[in-house]
Amino acid sequence: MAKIKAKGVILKYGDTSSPTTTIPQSAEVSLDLGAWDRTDITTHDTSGVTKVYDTVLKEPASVEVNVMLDPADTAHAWLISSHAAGTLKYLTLVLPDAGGAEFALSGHVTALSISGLTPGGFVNAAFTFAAAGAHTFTA
Amino acid sequence: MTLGEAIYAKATSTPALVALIEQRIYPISIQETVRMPHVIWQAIAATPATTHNEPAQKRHTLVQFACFAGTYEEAVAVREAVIAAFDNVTLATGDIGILEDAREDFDEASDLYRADADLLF
Repeated sequence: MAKIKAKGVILKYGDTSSPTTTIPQSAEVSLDLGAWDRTDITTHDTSGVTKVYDTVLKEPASVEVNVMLDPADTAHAWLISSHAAGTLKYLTLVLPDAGGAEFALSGHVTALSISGLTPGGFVNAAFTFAAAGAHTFTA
Repeated sequence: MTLGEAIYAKATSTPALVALIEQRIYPISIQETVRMPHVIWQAIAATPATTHNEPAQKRHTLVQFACFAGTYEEAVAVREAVIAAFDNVTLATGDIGILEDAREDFDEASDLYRADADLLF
């Protein structure tokens, strides 16, 4: 059992599966592995006063990333063009653990925003990469 | 060029400020023999641009300019000249000054009036 510092998370991007190129200047990364839809299967025969649920389908994973945006950077330009095109892309999130655990997604850049441009701030962009189906996890 | 060097270069080449303090702007501290009025500046905080896979490189630095003078009016005049020299002004490093705070006080230790300006670069 190990406790792992978050510094060093890597995002790899590409137009084909198993991407190898890193998105630079990522400042904050969040991974949502998807919530299950649940169906209420409570019946008149159910005992007690608590409803009973079963899982049916699950939302695919998504990654939210804040980068310190450099529009001249190749990877950041790829994010912008991928969002504009809406075509299928590939993203792999690598955790900074000893084994380099990976979550591999194929999907789309579904959201991209540049906000919070205060005089004393930095130029940041937030983008969402939503998987089009099941992701793969490699520990 | 460091931020400190850029601050000194700008302060000592701004006529309105030079007219008040000549070259008397110093980092951190001064000798007791330095004439009035004068300015002491120091970086009091820094916000680095932290990312996952690179050194921070860029950072915002908050600099305090403490303007000392024998009278209240003179201290405030120097402080206003400092603000005019640096607020929304681009230094040789590319940093742009942003006024964050201004305040006044009487410094018991030196028996001088003090007017401060904090600028973010």
